[in-house]
Amino acid sequence: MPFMEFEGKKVEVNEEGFLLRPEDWSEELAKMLAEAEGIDELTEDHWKVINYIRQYYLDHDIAPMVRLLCKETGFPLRYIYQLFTSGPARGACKLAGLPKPDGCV
Amino acid sequence: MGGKEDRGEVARFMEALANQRLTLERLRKRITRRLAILVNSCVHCGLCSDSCHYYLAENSNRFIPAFRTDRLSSLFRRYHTWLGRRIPFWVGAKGVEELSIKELTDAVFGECSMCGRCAINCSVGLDIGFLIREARKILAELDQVPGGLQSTVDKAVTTGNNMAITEEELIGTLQWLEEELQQEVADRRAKIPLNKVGARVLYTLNPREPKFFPLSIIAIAKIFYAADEDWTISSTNFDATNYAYYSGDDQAARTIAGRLVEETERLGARILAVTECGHAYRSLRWEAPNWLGKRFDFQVKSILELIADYIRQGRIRLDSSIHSAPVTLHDPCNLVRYGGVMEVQRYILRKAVSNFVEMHPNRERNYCCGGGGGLLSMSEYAELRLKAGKAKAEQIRRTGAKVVAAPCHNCIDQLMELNKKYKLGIETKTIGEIVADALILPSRRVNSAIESASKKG
Amino acid sequence: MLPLSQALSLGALLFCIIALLYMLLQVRHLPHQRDLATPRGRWWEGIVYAFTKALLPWSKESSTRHLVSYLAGVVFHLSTFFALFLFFLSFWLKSVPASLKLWGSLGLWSGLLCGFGLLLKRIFTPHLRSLSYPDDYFSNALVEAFLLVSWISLREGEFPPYFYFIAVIFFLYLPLGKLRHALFCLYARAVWGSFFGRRGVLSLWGAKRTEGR
Repeated sequence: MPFMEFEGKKVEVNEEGFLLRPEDWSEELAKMLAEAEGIDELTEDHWKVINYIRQYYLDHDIAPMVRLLCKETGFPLRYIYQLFTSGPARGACKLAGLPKPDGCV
Repeated sequence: MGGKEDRGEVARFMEALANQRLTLERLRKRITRRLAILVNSCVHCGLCSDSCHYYLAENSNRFIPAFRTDRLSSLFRRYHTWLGRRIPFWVGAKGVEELSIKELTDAVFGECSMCGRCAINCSVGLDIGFLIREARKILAELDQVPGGLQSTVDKAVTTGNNMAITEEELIGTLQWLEEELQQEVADRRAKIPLNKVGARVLYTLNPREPKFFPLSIIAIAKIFYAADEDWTISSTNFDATNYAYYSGDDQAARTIAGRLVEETERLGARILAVTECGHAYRSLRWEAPNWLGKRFDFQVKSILELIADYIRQGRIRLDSSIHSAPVTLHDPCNLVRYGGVMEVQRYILRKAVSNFVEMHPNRERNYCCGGGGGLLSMSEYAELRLKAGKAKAEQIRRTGAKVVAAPCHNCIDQLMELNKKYKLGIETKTIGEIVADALILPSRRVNSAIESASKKG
Repeated sequence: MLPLSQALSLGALLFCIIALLYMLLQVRHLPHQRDLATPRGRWWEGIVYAFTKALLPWSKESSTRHLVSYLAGVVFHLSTFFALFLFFLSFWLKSVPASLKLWGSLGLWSGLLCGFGLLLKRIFTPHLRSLSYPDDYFSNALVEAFLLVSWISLREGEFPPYFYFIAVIFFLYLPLGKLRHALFCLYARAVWGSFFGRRGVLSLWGAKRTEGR
């Protein structure tokens, strides 16, 4: 399995950079994942999205529908795509430390 | 300690033996007329090699389509041909004991998107994509389907859609989208009708639309609104996809397709309209009748065919000047090469954009984006998948277009990744989105709708 | 009475035909799923396409990109058919007319050269070698041997026993090795044509592919 070097530890990720164990996640790690995604700096808005997805995942064991994401963060849909150019699944969910969602993504 | 290791070895050996036995059994049961003809016909001319996007990118023997399928054919020769049984090495016949399940899995799941480009270009005329799926079927029975693909199939079978979206979540999302739609068209009567019995069109989605990318749903709803279509979405059976087609699990494929067919019959829709999704169209239009063993009383159509009809019949009008930048078109393999939906998308784009440029080669000769065959769900092959997208990336770059219309959600994701990796600087859109943006919404239509409604009343 | 060599060759031919027919029947008896989906195009149009347009050098990338191999393949095959024709003719022909001698030799020689070229290609191209088994080399060599003895016979003006001897090997081996593609390729091509024809992907007259009704 591939891994990322993070603070001297090895963090296991899948071949597309999704964390294998969501409990490995930390804010610092999210920053590193963001860099790999080509996001230079995580703004407050990024964090709002990431934190919501993360919390929802911890509560429900699945990524939230994008409708909830918009509703809870107050961001319009198109703005979310601007924040995460790879989209909510490959972008935001990855940064929030979720395993890769099933389906056509 | 050593004992434990030995046990591991023994277990692995036993498993390998069991797999071999199973493979043999399947092989015996599996042989259909079409398969027998195909495995008997390859002359190893090697001319298929450079029709494959994997071979073009990696230039290695194992990516030659004929090489891939020979793993299956060599088994056939070993057990079902006279020379193969007696002098196996002479005809390249290989027994199950020589078969590496891992290698076969990599070859048919990880190193082939079943795009069929080699099938169209095969000098003999062999449907190589069909052979690959036959190999996948055997592996599916041996439980060797890569994890991400299998769990996508399992989700679809157990929850009714491949992203485990609940009915409540779907309804919530569609209501939200309806509000957005009403704002966009400034008409409170614009609807996304749910579970409407007797609607003419039952529209189906790719679950990733409600889950993550709902703009394409609004776009189609807007087109339906403008065309004054009598349509509906089912809140329980809305998933058009069928990943069991990719995993080679016909039993699951039957279950998944069967639900949609039943739902269409229950609602009494005349047309089952499939969202912009290549393999969903192919499975429902071409494969499902065979899986279920019956002819359908309704038509299965790609949403593109409906949109083209609306334009042709004057039910919607488009202003192409809104899209003045060059737009090119990607032909999804399962929609075009294996689906036969070839011209309507071109017709639509010529009406919806002012500068449409063809990619070359195109139509049934088009290159796969590299994301087909369920590969998007199999992370273990992600790196190779992106490398193999090189042919597509170059094809796009040559057009000089900045917008790529891709009537397949799966292709769109792969194209987005190619965009990043190959720095193409493109935007990918569904055709529905492009059409929705170009729609001319006349207030006349609203009035005439009211008039006709009041006349009827 | 026929000379022994001729009689043997006819026996081998009979075996070849029976074996091919047997295989054909075997295949026809295998389970087959009838296609229940409403067709978009016409299956027969696809088949006609497969045996006409699809054979043209510009219709498939495998021929346009490999024009030399394509042409060599065509000549090799035509030449083989001609040699087969000569074989049948040899039972009637008392003497070989001069025109047949000239043009026949030319045809057989071009077939020989092309076949040999393809054999060399198979031996020296790594990716092609990776696809090849002894059967592939032997089949090519066997056909070339047949072409060669056909040419010698033409030149000599008579068909010697070794011509029939090679024919015996040729007919006996044909159903066993890859040469049986003589039968199966035609079948596969028809299946290919009808499959893509039904789906409206292949059509003879271009772009009338939109679904009606």
